[in-house]
Amino acid sequence: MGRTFASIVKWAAAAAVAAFLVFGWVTLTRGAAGHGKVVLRIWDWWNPAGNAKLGRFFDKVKGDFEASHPNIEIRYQFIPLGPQYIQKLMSAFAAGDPPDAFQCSIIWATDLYDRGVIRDLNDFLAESTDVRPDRFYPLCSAYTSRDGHVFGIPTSMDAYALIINTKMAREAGLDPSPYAIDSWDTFLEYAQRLTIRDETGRVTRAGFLVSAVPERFSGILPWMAADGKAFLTDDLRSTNATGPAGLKAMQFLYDLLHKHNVSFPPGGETQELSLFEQGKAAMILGGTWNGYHISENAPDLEYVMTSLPPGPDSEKRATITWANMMMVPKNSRHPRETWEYLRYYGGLQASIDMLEILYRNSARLDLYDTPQWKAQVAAHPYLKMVPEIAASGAMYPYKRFEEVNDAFKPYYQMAILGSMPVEEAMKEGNAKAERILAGSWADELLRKEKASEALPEAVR
Amino acid sequence: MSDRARREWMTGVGFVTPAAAVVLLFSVGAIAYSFWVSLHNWDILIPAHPFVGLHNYSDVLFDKDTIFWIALGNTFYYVTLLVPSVIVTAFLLSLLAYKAPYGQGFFKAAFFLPSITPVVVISLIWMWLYRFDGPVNMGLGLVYAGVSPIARLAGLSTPALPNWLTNTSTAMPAIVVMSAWQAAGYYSVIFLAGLSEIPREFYEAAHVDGAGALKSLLYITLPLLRNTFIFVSVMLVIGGFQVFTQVYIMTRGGPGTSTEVMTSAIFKKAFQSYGGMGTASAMAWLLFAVVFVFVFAYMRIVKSRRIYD
Amino acid sequence: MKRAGKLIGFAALIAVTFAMVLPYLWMAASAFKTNTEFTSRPNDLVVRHPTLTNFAGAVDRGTGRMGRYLFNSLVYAATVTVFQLIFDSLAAFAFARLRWKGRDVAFTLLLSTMMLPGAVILVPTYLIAVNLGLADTILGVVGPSLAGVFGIFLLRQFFLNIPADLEDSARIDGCGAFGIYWRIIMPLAKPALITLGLFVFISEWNSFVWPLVILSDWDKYPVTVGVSLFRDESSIAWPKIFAASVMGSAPLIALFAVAQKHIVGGITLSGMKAG
Repeated sequence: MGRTFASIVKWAAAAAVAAFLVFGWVTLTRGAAGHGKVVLRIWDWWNPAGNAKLGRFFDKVKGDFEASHPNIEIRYQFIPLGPQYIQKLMSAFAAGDPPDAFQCSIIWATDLYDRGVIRDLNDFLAESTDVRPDRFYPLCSAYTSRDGHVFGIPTSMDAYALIINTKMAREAGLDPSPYAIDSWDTFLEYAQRLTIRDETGRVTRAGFLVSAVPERFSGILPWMAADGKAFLTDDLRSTNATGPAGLKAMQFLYDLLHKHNVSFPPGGETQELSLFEQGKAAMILGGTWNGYHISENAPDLEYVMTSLPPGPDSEKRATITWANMMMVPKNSRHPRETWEYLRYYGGLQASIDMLEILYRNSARLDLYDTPQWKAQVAAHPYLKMVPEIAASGAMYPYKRFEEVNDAFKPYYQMAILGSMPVEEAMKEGNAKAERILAGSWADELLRKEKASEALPEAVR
Repeated sequence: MSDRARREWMTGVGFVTPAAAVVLLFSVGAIAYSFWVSLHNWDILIPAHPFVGLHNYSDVLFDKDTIFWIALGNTFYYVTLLVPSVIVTAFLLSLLAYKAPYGQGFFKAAFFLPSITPVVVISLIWMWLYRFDGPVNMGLGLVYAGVSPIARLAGLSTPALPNWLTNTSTAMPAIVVMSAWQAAGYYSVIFLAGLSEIPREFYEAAHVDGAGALKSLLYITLPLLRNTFIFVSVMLVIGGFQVFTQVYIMTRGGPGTSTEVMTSAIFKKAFQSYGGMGTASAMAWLLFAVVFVFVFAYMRIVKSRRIYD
Repeated sequence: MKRAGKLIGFAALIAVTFAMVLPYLWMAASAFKTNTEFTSRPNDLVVRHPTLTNFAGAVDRGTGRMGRYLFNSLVYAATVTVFQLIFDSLAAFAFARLRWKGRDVAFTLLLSTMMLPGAVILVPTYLIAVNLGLADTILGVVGPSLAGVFGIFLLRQFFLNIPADLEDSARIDGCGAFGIYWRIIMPLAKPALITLGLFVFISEWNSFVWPLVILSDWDKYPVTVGVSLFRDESSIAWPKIFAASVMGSAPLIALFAVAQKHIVGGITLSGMKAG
């Protein structure tokens, strides 16, 4: 048991491991040390990891905000959009340690608010006017407030849009202007004339890409809107899928895919935007937010965005519009500082930054009167249509969307792939959705809790 | 208890306590707590948890919209496809490696590689490989190019190349292939160890008696490896019931519900929906019961068919 | 004829091995491709314009953070390894070498927990951890793995095979139970400890579901969770994900290359004993 060399080495190694472990534990346990500043943790899914422009955007917002608020430090965290975002959020809420503010999709916002974990913003809104609901497009209020209680500040306003490759349209002898397609019949004509097939009859360029196996069943939503109906009924207890709008929209998509053969056969590649950028599709159902992606990957592509033409039962162009929002957890540790950030992020300067760096339009009404907007429209012509497209939109089916999507999506897929007749699929999908929309065991509990809470005065 | 016995007891318990505390808390304790949760309506965002008795169980088993039977069926489907393919492939691989004149260590290492790589990484790789215009279809395309003239002569047509992960009939088999790829190498090493235990003299004696390679395989190798086969199949079944990461990363249970297995259904219910923890716990308990019965029955059947050894 | 058979077998073996390794080759190739080359020639194994930008992007604190994730994984894996080696060996010693009332019952109980599917205990373990205040903490991540039945089982087997007379002389000298454990059994158990340590390290490095569920702060993510979240709003950045994946699995592959004998030997040992 003497001090042999081997024994010394062994102890040294053990000490090194122990030291590393202690160092590791301390690093991982130490909270956000803020050098005396208030540290705000903000969560979002616009992830710079996928796109450098997002990095520039957040750097600018953070830089400008911290310059005018030297006692606050902003720390962002990014989680991909999708079920993992809500899973991480709920986990953080359950642990009692949610972020100070986070971007929230409309599909989770009201459910979270109903569960009483979101801070009501009416008291702050009473103090300052710059992010009051009347500063934003009216459609936002349905998403960001309930019974006059505002719980979210709208950020970007997005809508589904028909994106048309204007060069391909002109080459096919078609009018490429946004209103040229004025009915579903005209749309069909465009789709057919824009499709290119090879000698065997196989489609090599899709006239219109029909999404057959998507993450969500949203492909049908704007078409239903174009035929006059939102997906959810007004009482939010059922869907319009079994009505004429739903059936006609579904049938139209099915026909486009199977009867008129204007898209790639189902089961093929499904990344619609990439295919459009590669020139393999002439028209797609994209969104008004796709502009920066196209400018990155296909800067020379000439295109126009427009809303969908009215269906047989309607006379107005339509689409689906929504505005995602920033929300604050109820027991926020730094409500005043968080509110300052929200005022900034929902304010005009941040909207201008969003526009100039990301080509994304916020929901603020005054953005569209600024010289920056006019300059951007001159540089990116597709933007001209965006406010109009957004204004024509119907409501996104935000209530209990994840579960409704899980239930309805398979029926959408079966209908579009032809493995179930359209009417039957819509009926069964609707039945499933109704059972979900009927509510859960928690609704009664939550209603009672909300009723007993003292909430600040509702804001007009 | 005598003084000595008490001292011995305290020593024993003292030694065991740290490990036992962790294991018991997070296994026995967890499963008891899981049962408790399954008897309530449970939402992690709401403090109240109303007691509902066996209501969650009846929901999971009998409700019109329950995912339980679909998920259970998919899990069984997965296990049924996986276990034989891995056993066959692993065994064949081990035979090949056993007969290798040199480099056995290298081959063992290569086979083993997939099992020490994080499943997340493997799932991402295969998700990309399975793309419609990815290497898998490219390779199959080459095979088709060679095979289709012959097929056409025989009057058969080669099926179209699918988008593996977005097609309801191919998604699950695609995941099985990926899992089999990972597991086969791992278990082939186990078979190899078993093979090297068989004394050479057995084969030599058989050869003297005029037995060919096939007979040796059937009458010497397989019977002597019986325990190894049993072990491998039990491990594969237990492991198969636990498949999660691949599904979560590659298909999320889709397309439709074709790859929704028990673990992913439980996960979704618990962590990606509101107020579903009670239901998820009920599903988990039912899964536990199924696995228990299954393994129990399997071991019974297998142990009873005694071949003299 | 036999010669030809052997050659064919060997050729088949090489082909199969190549097929098994092929996915890795694709991953490695893609990690070095630029975005344009990846979009234009995704299936090529040969990279025409190799680049390190993906790796740089993966490590960058704004766009990747792999450095932090690798550190976290190392901390979690090392912690779990150290604790399991200690806790499991203590328990294994108690089961193999000490006599105490209830020993065999306790052992059977512990052994039976091996059969529990992870999905069954995932939810309650999460709830327990949250109730104990361990959500989003390092203790929460490593807690359930600080001891393992597999380790106890493996070490107990090994300890049982150590001859009893070695400790008899120590007992006569007045050595207590802990002394026997520390001075006699543990030094002899080095091979088993190394094997177990490697197993536990690899297993914890690869763990995905538990950290996914228990952590929210991305500064604590291990490599597995970090890589899985390498996406932006609409797409997956494949070359960067592959670069991150290469970085995330490289330490294990290196470890495997160095300690191959122990790892492979270990599972054959456990396979044979149980089979």
